[in-house]
Amino acid sequence: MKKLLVLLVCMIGTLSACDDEKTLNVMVPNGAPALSQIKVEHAMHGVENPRYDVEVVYGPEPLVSAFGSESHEIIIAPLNLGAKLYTKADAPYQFAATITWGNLYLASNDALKTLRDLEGKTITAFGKNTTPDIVLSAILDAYVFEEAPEIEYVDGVDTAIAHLSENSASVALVAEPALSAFEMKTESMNTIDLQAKWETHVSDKPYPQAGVFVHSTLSEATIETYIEALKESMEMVTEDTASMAEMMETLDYPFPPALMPSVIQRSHIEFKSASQSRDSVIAYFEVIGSFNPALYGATMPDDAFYYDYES
Amino acid sequence: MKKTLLSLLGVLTLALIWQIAAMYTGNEFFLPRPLSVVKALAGILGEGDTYRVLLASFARLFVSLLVACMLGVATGLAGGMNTYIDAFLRPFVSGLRTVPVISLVVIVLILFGNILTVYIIGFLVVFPLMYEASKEGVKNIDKGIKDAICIEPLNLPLLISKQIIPLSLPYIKTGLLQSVGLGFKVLVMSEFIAQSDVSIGRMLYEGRITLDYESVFAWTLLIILIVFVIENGLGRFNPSV
Repeated sequence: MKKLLVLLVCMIGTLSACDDEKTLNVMVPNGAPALSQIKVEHAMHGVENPRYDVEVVYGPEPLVSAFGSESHEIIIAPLNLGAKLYTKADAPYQFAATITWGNLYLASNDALKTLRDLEGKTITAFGKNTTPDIVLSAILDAYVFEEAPEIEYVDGVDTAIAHLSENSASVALVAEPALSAFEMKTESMNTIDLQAKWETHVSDKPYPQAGVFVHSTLSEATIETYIEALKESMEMVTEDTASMAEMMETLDYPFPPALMPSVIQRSHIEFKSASQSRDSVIAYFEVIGSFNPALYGATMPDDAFYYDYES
Repeated sequence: MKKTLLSLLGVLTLALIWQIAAMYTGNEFFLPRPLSVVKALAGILGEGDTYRVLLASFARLFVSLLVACMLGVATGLAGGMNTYIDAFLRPFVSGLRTVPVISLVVIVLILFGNILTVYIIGFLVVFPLMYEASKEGVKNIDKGIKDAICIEPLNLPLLISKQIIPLSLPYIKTGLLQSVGLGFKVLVMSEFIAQSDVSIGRMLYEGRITLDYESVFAWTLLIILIVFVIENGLGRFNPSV
């Protein structure tokens, strides 16, 4: 009987080990989120049976599809998108951590140091009614101007940057890594960090941008192993851009390595667990809600949304 | 009558396949059921803003179509009457017909900005169709009639307005019929990519960014209905070629 019990325990142990060793599919959007996890991705490059199969994607559609089809066990996605799919589509994913905290800037070749410099100007912005627009509008609304700046919308960050190159006096809403790429081509570029202005004028908490979402069936050990690997990667990315640049070349990332110090510094890459991010998430959704509640689903996610993980 | 019934049956079959797929998916958020979409469409049609959006998109379509038709017909008739003109214009027309529309949108967007893009793309898509249609119209004029025209002492403007255009009209109308439906679809795509203010494309874009797929489906259904109405409406005036 004892032997049978030992055998049973061994079998269960082996099965759990198999589950832990299974390749996990990870989806991550390109840009700062992808750069944050580059060490994890690089470690899996060329490995026959990788622990993590990382897929880097562009735009929100593949992320929405991954949440809907549950094709990936771990998804890194904009926080509002993950929250909406959790509350409205019953996507079985929990928010485990925030890894990036905004990458938006106002840029101009003209004098631009404070919000006062925006008096009476026209700002070329992208993504009307989306989160970049809301971050900008919330800051402008909170600041008292004598002549409030006007916002003129264009189709994307590339067009906003094109406006900067056409008119040196213009001001544009831009995002990393496009800002650093443009900065390399210009002699002088002045910027205002909207993340800093958010914390000064809108909320006393930073706004979370990209979060890690984990499938509800993943074991605690599996999630924690990934989170540790991710944290290690983020540490390397923020401290050793040279190693990161080498990894980018191996993985064929489309960003010139020379841009990396500036891109990383301006992308506000910082790990905070779900519980550490919670207040910022709520404050962020409250501001979004006052502009366009549909962006996060109009309902605050419940407690179960936050994966209980302490860093 | 029998054909109408069969078409109706086809529509019902599509709706049934959709309903089964929605039930199989089991998640209204990602794939809403037909009835939910019809309700959403009714909601959209009940809003005053919808008609402002439709009017703005139709106005863009009208401007693009008008310019493309005028230039396409004029050059197409010239190309049909003169092979040298046709040889000169062929690279432009073939180029426009070959280049994927999405490449055109991206290039035009970079060069001309998001306001002009929708008009230019509409023109670039419709122009080759109207050119080819008009040219074919001239080429297919009966040889006997062509010979008779040649011996008639009419000056060129009169010859074109009294003989060439009326005789080519069936082809031009067919070209126009194809252009309106295609032009409308391409226009919506351009509006979506260029994020044009007050446009059907913009409504689809907003549905996309807010993950409001019920609204995306409802607007898509509305686009299908509009194209159906336009093509059938024009089809009634289209003589058989």
